[in-house]
Amino acid sequence: MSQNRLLRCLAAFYALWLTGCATHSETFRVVEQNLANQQPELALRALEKQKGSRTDEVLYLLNKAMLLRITGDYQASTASFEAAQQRMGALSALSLREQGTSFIINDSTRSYVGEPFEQVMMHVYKALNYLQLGERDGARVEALQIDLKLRELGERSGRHLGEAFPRYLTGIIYEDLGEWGDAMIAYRKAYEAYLGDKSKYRIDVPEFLKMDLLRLSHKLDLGEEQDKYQREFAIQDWQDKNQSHSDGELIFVLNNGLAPIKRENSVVMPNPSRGGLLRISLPYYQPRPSLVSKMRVNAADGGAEGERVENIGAIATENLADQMPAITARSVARVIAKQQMSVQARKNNNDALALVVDIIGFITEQADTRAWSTLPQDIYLARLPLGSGSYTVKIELRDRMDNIVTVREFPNVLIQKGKKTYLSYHWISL
Amino acid sequence: MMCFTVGMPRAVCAALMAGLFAVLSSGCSTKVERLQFDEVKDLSGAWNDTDSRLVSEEMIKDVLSAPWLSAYNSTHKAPPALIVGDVRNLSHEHINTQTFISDMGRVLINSGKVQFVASRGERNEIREERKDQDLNAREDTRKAMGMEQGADYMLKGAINTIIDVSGSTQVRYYQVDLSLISLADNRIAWVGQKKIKKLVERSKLRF
Repeated sequence: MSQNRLLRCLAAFYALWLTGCATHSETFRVVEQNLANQQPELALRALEKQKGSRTDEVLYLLNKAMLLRITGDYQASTASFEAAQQRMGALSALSLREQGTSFIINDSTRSYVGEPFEQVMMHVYKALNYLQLGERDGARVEALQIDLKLRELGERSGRHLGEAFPRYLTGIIYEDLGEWGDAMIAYRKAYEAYLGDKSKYRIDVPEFLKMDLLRLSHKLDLGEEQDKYQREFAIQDWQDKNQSHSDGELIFVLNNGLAPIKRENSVVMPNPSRGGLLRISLPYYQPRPSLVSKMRVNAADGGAEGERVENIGAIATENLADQMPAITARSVARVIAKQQMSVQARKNNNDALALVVDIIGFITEQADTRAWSTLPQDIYLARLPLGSGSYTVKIELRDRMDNIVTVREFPNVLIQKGKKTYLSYHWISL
Repeated sequence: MMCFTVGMPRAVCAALMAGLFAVLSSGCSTKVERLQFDEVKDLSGAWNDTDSRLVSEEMIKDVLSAPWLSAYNSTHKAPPALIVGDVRNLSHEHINTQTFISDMGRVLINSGKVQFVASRGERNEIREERKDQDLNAREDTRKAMGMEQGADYMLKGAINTIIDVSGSTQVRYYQVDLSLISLADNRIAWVGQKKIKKLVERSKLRF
């Protein structure tokens, strides 16, 4: 076989093989389909089959932890989160080898370390795991980790996205442990973050956060601050509403839908200088708005409306928009580098090699569509004061037009006096 | 080499060989090295066995040489009975506090200078067993209820941390506080403190 024919053959094979490797978001569809069919165990099995390369390990562990949460196995979920965290730590250093390969092939060849907001959300869900297991000290560790992570990110980039709910959750954890000072600081920071997020993510300051601020500023004798909040919130009768706080409380967290999915947008154009085709692939988020936009939690005679506390979809989109200039620059540089290689081969009269470089370069130019897509689109929270006892908790999820989408029941929820009980549910439909 | 015989260009051949090497080398088996239990091996900078051991050693030395023990012995015949209460983890990491509590318990009991009574969880299990004996054991081997020895002191404490981060450098400061509280009158008989400070510099580059 002549050298040229062999090379052509090889190139064709390689092309066929590569078209077989779909982007990450495409292969993940099976998992999501199972989730939408309310079969988290099947989704977990499908995910385990996809356990791929070492570069995607963090992503696999995060998704696995989330699915384990949905099946109710909080301990295993925490273990998986812990493994992901360890791996993230190891990957925080820069790999020159990966930088090199990503320059030649594509961004997906780099190890996935999680977006900053995903790293924070990991601690949020770990904390929720501990809370749902009733291990408040474990949740406190995660609250400290959230503080540390946010401090680290703030120092690095000057700002961080989606800080509001994580801050609020740490406040709840500290207050639950009777650490009023820390709780007050966390609530204050959450309030500031919510004010900043209001226009960006269309999220209002939750009513219960206002109550928490009033209650704690009163408790800590921060008279001036309390007056300020009272004016800002226009709430006078807060003490009546806060009466029930000496009893137990149910905190219900609804994970609503799935985070937006990353897709690939490829632009193919003819090479103006020397014929052939050029391809640039960039990622974009395809929004997946959830049908559900209202939640009500009922138990015994009482009930509480849920409020939207975090809009992960909007945060993810903004995060990607921030990174887009760098991603585009890398992609353009890559195309130019590949072109240079092919030009060099042609100069050396090695047309076959030039062809291979062109074909491989064209095909390997894929966008990095990896994202933690089992995160919810948004998070709703409801707080319901209850006396001690066993309750059947009912939640009603409604759409924008106020039609009931689904109703769920959680029997035998135990409420203890002076303690908070945490429940969560992940509602998914495609 | 094989690819030279079919006339493949050098660059392609080298790339293929490199790929083959990568595949082969990733198949290397796991390596295990046995360590002495007191060998110091810091990997991530997080709380590890060495910290746990250092804390328990220091605390034991301290608690056995503190004046509360001789004061107790001068007024009582039997050595004091201790119980381990809650050692709270208020740190930034998930720390297993059981290892140094059991370390301390072991050395304290074996020293013969103090007695230990079972903790709350263990007590419940033993009471269950005693209840079972009441029904099923022979009378001469049956142990009666209400004969438990009450503890004189409770050992409790907390682990706290302060972490300061800048870039890839961290200063991790651990403080372990233990106190011995008299169950009779809430007097604090002894306070032990151990501090550990570490500077952790994470590597900026990896393979």
